[in-house]
Amino acid sequence: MNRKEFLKLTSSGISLLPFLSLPIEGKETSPQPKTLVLIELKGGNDSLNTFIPYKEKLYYQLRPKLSVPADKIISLNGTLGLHPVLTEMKDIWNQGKLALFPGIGYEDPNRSHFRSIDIWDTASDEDEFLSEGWISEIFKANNIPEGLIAHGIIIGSDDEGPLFGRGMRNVVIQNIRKFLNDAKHSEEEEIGVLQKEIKKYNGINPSLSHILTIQKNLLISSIKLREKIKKPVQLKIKFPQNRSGKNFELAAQIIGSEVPIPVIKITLGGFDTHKNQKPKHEKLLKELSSSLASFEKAMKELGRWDDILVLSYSEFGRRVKENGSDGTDHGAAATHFALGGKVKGGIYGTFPDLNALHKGDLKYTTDYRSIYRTIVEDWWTFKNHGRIDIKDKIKLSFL
Amino acid sequence: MKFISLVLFFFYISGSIYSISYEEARHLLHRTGFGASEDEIQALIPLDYEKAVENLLNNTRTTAIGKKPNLNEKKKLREKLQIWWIEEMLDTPSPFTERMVLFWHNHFVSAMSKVPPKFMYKQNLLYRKNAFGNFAVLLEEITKDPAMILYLDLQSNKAEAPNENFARELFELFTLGEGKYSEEDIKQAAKAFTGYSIKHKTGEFHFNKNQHDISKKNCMGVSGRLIGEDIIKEALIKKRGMDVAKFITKKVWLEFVSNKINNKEIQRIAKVFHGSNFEIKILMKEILMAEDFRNPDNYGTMIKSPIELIVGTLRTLDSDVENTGTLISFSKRMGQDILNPPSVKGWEGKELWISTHSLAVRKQFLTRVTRGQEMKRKKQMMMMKVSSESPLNWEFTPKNKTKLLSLLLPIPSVFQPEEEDDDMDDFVHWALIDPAYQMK
Repeated sequence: MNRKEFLKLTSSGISLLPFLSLPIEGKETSPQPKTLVLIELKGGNDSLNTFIPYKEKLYYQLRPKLSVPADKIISLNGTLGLHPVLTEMKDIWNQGKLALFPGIGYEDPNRSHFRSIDIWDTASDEDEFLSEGWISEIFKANNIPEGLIAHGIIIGSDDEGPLFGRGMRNVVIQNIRKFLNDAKHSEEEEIGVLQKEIKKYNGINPSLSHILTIQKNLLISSIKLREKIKKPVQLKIKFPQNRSGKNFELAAQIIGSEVPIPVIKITLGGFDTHKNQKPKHEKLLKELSSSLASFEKAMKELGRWDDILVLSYSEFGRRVKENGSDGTDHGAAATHFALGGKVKGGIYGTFPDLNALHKGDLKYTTDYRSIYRTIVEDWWTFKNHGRIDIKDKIKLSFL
Repeated sequence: MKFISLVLFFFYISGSIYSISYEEARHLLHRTGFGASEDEIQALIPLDYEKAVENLLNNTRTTAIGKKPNLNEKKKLREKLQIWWIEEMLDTPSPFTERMVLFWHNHFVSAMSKVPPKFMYKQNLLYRKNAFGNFAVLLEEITKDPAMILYLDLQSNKAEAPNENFARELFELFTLGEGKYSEEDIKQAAKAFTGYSIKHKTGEFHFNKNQHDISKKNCMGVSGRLIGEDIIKEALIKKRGMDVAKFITKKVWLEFVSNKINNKEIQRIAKVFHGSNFEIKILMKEILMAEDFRNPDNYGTMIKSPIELIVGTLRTLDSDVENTGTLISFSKRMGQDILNPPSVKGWEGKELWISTHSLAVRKQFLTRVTRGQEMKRKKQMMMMKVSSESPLNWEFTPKNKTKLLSLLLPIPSVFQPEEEDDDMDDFVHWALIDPAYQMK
């Protein structure tokens, strides 16, 4: 963001400080926008095979086929280690910028994708039904400046998740290629197509025509928003050319354009590994790790490493005992991670006891909303929680 | 010899001409149920259209398959009752029954905002018992139903100060429609209904002689010392029977057939309904056999209600969400809080179901439902033979992709798939998000 734009935003009278990185002491730099980069591991990541308690005998007993041999594991601290393909994450750990949160979950875990992701996205209890995303609620409770072009960018999915809510200005980018290539033209095309369909169905199916008209209105709002996001920058760093890599590359380019966007949500699919988990999960983890490495380098190239916070989440972990199809079924508590220039590396929380499983699943030791509270109060420095019930959740000191 | 083979050939063709097609079966099921699973469609295919309609009507139920909900605890009774009913919709072998219960719930409206859940439950059982029974009986029973009496303040309708609320709604919303009765008719009917009340704890109907106006009344040309029953039996069913039949037929038409009124057809069907002495099964058969219903131009021209979208999708994909309360929450967000309609007019529905917000919620629901592989719903397997796999588990082949579109969409998709779909989950997701899936 250049000086002129920055002044324009701050002169609106509302404090933008929560969304800006404070300049480093002694350095003559203007504050830069901060971005929370959420990584949604869609389907329920098997974190037990990602962050591995490799000294636990039960890990090998309950996973005769799926467990990773101890000598292959990348040790972090003598008891917890990384899956062998996560070499790049070990580098970030060595820099002291990788934080791990074992045993993340909540009371009475739900094991359906549908309900459980709803719980995570709305910061609710198992038997509580909230309709808007937790970030949407937090932003609404804390007077977000009108000058912000968009609240969130959604990449890799059409589910706004934590950012879903009335009045939220989110940009959903499902087709990266389309978004990058001459955005304006293809969008006018999209509206044209809808207009044509509306006309076509007008006489023969007026109800469908009505739905398409509503859809057109949604599209017009979304296009107006997309147009305001400057053309994303070109980066020197190369990203892996798989789904994961392209998603992270786009996020990096958007961050590089210096338009203040508080949250970017990236969805990586394929983690619902019921069958033949070994090769599938390994591929996903490798793609994740190498994408994260490129992302880290890109942030450093842009001088923005200190301005970003990457955080993983998933609807649940997976069962400790492997199933009969060389895979794992829906579980409960899981280990998640955060990384970024301002992160204080380390392990925050207790790894669940494999000898004290709850219905065959890892029992949570830290409520997932502890992470949320830490972000709300320490990353954004917001005072208000709105309707989000996190005031009694113990914060983690990774920021 | 030639003649015989010609005759046999004719019978061969006519057999296949008259048996129901996949699209006809799907349309019939979509309009009378909640979505349509591959199993349900295949079950009808060996039959001809009329037999298929009769099959659906013969399999209707008068009782719920689910266990009675525990309405004795004080906590979260409303949610408990809503969950009980949605689970009935998810698991019943006769979705047509629940669609009809929903229809009566939206016709003879009562709501939890005013009525205790235990009486809403009783009313729900009444609707199911009479859903496909006799309308005249249902009408009489509803005037003695505790939920209705409380909702329309009938118990405060006393001789000294008659409360016209009930009589007005009875004529305007339940039986005749606006303009088909006079203000005097309402006053007289209100007098006839004085004394109708319930015992507060049990909800048992109680005719309070002390509060009843015994004077002579004249309502719609029927005179005498009329009581409530007489208004129903003599004035509405006997005297104005044809008007009542037309009113109900039109409502059923708008719910099941089309947004386009065909007065001639409605008149014809109303006559049959009236002639049968208000047998609902006969009405519904006429409705489903009507040309306007069967016409392929009519496929996919009505918008699914929130409940139809939610229950239909889960039944078709055979998915379990492990906490039915979330479905109630989604239905609320889409504008349909079951057992709690916003006013005595019920949900107007149709295009009003769709706004920028509700469309966003509907899409979020559909995206969530295809997020991953869920457990199968533990249905009462004895009741419903579930043999085929959820479409999410079908092998990802071009043939199955075509098959899936035929299963899910009542009309061709509006858009074409853009990206290369990774797997069946992605493709099903794309199909559900297409605007055509919002239709039935």
